[in-house]
Amino acid sequence: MNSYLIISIIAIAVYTIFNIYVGIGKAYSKSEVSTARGYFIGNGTGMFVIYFTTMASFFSTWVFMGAPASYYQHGVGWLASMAWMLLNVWYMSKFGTKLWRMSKANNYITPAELVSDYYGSKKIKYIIAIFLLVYSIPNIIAQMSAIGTAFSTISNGTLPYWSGVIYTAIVIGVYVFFGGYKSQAWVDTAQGILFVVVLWVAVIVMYFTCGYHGFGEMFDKLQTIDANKLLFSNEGSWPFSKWLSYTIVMGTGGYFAPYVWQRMYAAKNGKMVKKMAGSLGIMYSIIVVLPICLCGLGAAALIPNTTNADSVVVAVMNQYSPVMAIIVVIAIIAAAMSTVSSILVSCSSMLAMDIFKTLRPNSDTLKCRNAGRFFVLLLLIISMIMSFSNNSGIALLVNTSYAGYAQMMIVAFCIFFCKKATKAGVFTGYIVGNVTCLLLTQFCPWVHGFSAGLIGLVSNIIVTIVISMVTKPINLSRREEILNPLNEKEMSAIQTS
Amino acid sequence: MQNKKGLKYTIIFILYWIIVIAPYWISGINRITPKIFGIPFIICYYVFFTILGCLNLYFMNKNVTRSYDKDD
Repeated sequence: MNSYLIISIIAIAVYTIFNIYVGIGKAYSKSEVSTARGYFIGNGTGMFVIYFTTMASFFSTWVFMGAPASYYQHGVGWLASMAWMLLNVWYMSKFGTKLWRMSKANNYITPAELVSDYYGSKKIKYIIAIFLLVYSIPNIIAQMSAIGTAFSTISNGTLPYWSGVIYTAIVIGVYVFFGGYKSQAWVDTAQGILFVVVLWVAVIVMYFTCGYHGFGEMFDKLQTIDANKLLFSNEGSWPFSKWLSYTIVMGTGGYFAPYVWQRMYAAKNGKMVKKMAGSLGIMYSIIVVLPICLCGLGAAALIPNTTNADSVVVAVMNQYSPVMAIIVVIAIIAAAMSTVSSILVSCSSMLAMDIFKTLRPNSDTLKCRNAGRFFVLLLLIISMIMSFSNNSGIALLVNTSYAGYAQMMIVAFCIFFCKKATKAGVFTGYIVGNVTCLLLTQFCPWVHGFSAGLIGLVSNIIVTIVISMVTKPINLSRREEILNPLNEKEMSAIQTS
Repeated sequence: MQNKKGLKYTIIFILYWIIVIAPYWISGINRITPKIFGIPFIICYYVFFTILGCLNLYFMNKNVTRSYDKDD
């Protein structure tokens, strides 16, 4: 066994022990997981943890793989991600505290609970839960597959792909099964900090220790290799239509993903959500996205002809700093695990609260929690099995997931800001939007340069408006009653009491 | 009053979007030189205006967004 492999295995072991220590040793609380709410969204998460768990859940392996690969292959077009990060945070400003208040007042745990309560329909709860599950579960599978690949990369093939997949299922299974959301959020926080620090260290290693002395020399080299990579162009791989599609779909879907939506419910108070919305912009767009840009473009200057663009950051590190390559792979595993665990808790909550509890309304909170734990195990086993098969359907659903999540924006917008929207309009629009996304992604993913996701979102808006014009809107007094926790009188009544 | 303030920040947010899509059509912005600390102009342009966009969101949250807490 060579020294590189021994260091890799030690690094994985240390990382695993650290995760279990944080998730079970520090975060686990028996009283916290004794109720369904505590198990799925906690009993009020503090600022530091809610901030980093929201960040870590949102960013997955694409931080080290897909995004640098895009800069590497196509140049600066991916800077669009800065704009979609701000759109994501803008949504948080508009919806975040409202979602928090509604959950606090009515004990909502899942997005579908709020929507079905507002429209008074169980069918709606099923429809939304099923669509969100259909988009989320394939993401667990995709991230588990990425970890399997990372294991194989870190050990030069000695640790097989399947060992990474099984490792992920066991480690995440342990702390999520016992500790639920709280353990997951604490581990997420540690993982989030880890991968952001590693990103910046990777930038320093690339620009200052790989034979160049700073940004100037590196960008001069890239300019001589391919200056077009440093310019925007409507003729290249990132035309404006693609910029717009990505910015709207990723920005919207990134916020309305159920695991981010539920972070709003999980905050200890509204001020935290407000503070988070005020400061996450700089975290997302500068502290995370800027080093991704520098890594991708730096790699394009250092190793311009690699065939596997997805692992270009690891390839550069392998060539110039093998120990750093191990740390980068650990960070990739951390980024993937944080997303898997968040989606896992979110999916188990939707299965337990939206499906199980709706079918068995007499189930008490402990039964729902136990159902949640059962679904955690079930989802892990299914995802593990699916990770071993090469199913193109999974790739389709992963590619559509953000576009699918984005459809929830119209639903949420109609609840809080549009009293003329009708139940029929909103739900026909939601279904049409989702079906359009799925069909177009499968058969024609780009129409005149615009993505299937954007077209799905636009079709959702059009159908919602048209059907709302010819159907009966929700009763105004009922609307006021449901949204009562947000009105001034209710707020002052709470204050007085 | 709240709505007017909110509108102001929303308009600035839309302006931010116009600024960051401008390089597609304005070649004077879509350029590599001058480099700032060795980083191409277009990247610095994006980073600079994104920081301003973040400040806009920060002040929007501070001044307009309601927390819906008891003391808000």
